[in-house]
Parts: sequence; structure tokens; C-alpha cells
Amino acid sequence: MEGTGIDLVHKIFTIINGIASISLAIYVFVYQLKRDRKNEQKAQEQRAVNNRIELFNKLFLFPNFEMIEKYFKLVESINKRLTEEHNITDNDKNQMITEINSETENLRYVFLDKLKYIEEDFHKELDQILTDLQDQMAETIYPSSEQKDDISGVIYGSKTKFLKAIYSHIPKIQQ
Amino acid sequence: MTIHSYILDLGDYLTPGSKVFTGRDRGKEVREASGIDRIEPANEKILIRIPENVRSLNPSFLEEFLKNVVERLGPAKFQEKFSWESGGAYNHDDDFKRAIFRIARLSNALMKIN
Repeated sequence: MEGTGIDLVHKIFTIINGIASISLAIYVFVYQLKRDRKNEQKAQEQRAVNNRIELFNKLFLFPNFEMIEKYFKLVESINKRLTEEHNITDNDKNQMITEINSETENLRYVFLDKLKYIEEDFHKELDQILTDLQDQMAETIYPSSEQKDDISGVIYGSKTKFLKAIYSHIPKIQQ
Repeated sequence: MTIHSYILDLGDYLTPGSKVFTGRDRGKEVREASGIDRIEPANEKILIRIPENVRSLNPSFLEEFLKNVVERLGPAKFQEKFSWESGGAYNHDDDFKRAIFRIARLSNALMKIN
């Protein structure tokens, strides 16, 4: 009689143990499945972001990087002439203004303005940097007073800001 | 038929001593102060007169100054209606043309790719 009681308890314990093991296995399986799906979803999202960054680089940055560099070099060279040469004629100045305005327009047309269709705030940020620099150059070439300002720091700052804006924007490209 | 024409003299808005028109804020101020948006529909021809000592009309200024009229008329009609002249040797055609086409280009950017 006593043995039967222990047997019964043992059987009940075995059944409970079995149910607990199966439940744990199901729980682990479902949890793992959910985790795998979540990880796969995250990986897919990351792949999509990477693809967009790659596309952005290929379409916009890489083909135009040389032009951006060339633009800032032109601005630097004009500023160098303004600070170092003493006999700059009005004709030279007109030529400088024409060159800067023409190259700024070119950079906007080929690179910058296309961004407006894709990332309006980013376009606005870069355009403001170019606009400020272009205005500063015009006011340096034709100052309203006799005082000559060296704007090398402004040009360097604009270039740094422009490049920094591009690099810091890339991780923000989201789907 | 009487052709209503108007002469808008930018000399009235030039900062003393300055040889360039720059800045979006200044462009907006001159647009509002000159009343160009009101003048345009009331006149068939408008001449913008540029002081002879002005060497550059920067895009920041011109785009803001002409924004509404170019958007309303479009580049072709704008160029039929508006003309510009400078007493000086500097030719401002490129300044105007760049500004007109950029305003038109950017105002068409409504179809954003998302």
C-alpha cells in the first residue's frame, strides 16, 4: 500500500517533470524563433541602410568629390591672390567674381540641388554653407571700406563644415 | 493701348558704400520694400535698374528678391516681362539668368523621392 503511494507520487512527479521539460523546450524554441526573426529583421534593416549609403555614395558623393575639392581650391586661390597681390585691377576682380559665381552655380547644379529632391534639410544645410562663403567672397573682393580682411579662416571653416556635414549625415540616411 | 511700365531702381536699396548685393535676408527686405510682388501684376513691363557701381548681385540676394515673381511667371514669361540694365561696365545677365533658372529648378522639386 505504502509502495503504491510512493509509486503514484513518483509517477505524478515524472508527469509534472515531463510537462515542465516540454514546456521549457517549447518556450526555448518559440523564444529562439522570435529572437532569430528579430535578428533577421534587424539585419535586413541594416542591409537596407547600407545599400542606401552605398547608393548615396555612388550617385552623389564619389562622382562629385573632385568637384567639391576643386571648388574650395578655387576659392582659396582667389583669396590668396587678394591677400598677396597689390595691383589687382577692377577687371581682375570682375573675373574673380565671375569665376566664383560660375563655379558655385556649377556645384549647385551638378551636385547640391539634386539633394533637395532626396534630403531637403541636408540640402539646406550644405547650401547655406556655400551661400555664406559666396557672399563672404563677394564682400572681400569688393569691400565696402578700405580695410582688407583675410578670410582664410572663414574659407577653411566653410570647407570643414561642408565636409563634416556630409560625413555626419551619412549615418542618418534611413529608409 | 497703353503699356504700363515700371522702373525699379535697386540704387534705392543699396547699402551706402557697398558694391554688392548679398544675403537672403537683404533679398527679402528689398522684395518687401520695393513691392515687386505687387508691382508685377499691375505692369506689363518692368525694368530693374542696377547702380553702376554694383559689381555683383549674388544668388542669395537675387533668388530671394525675385522668388515669388519667377515662381508665378516661370522663366520664359519673366524674361519677357522683366529687363535689367546697369549704368556700369559690369554685365549682370549671368547673375539674373542663374537666379531665374535656379528658382525655377528648386520650385519644381516638389516631387520628393521617398
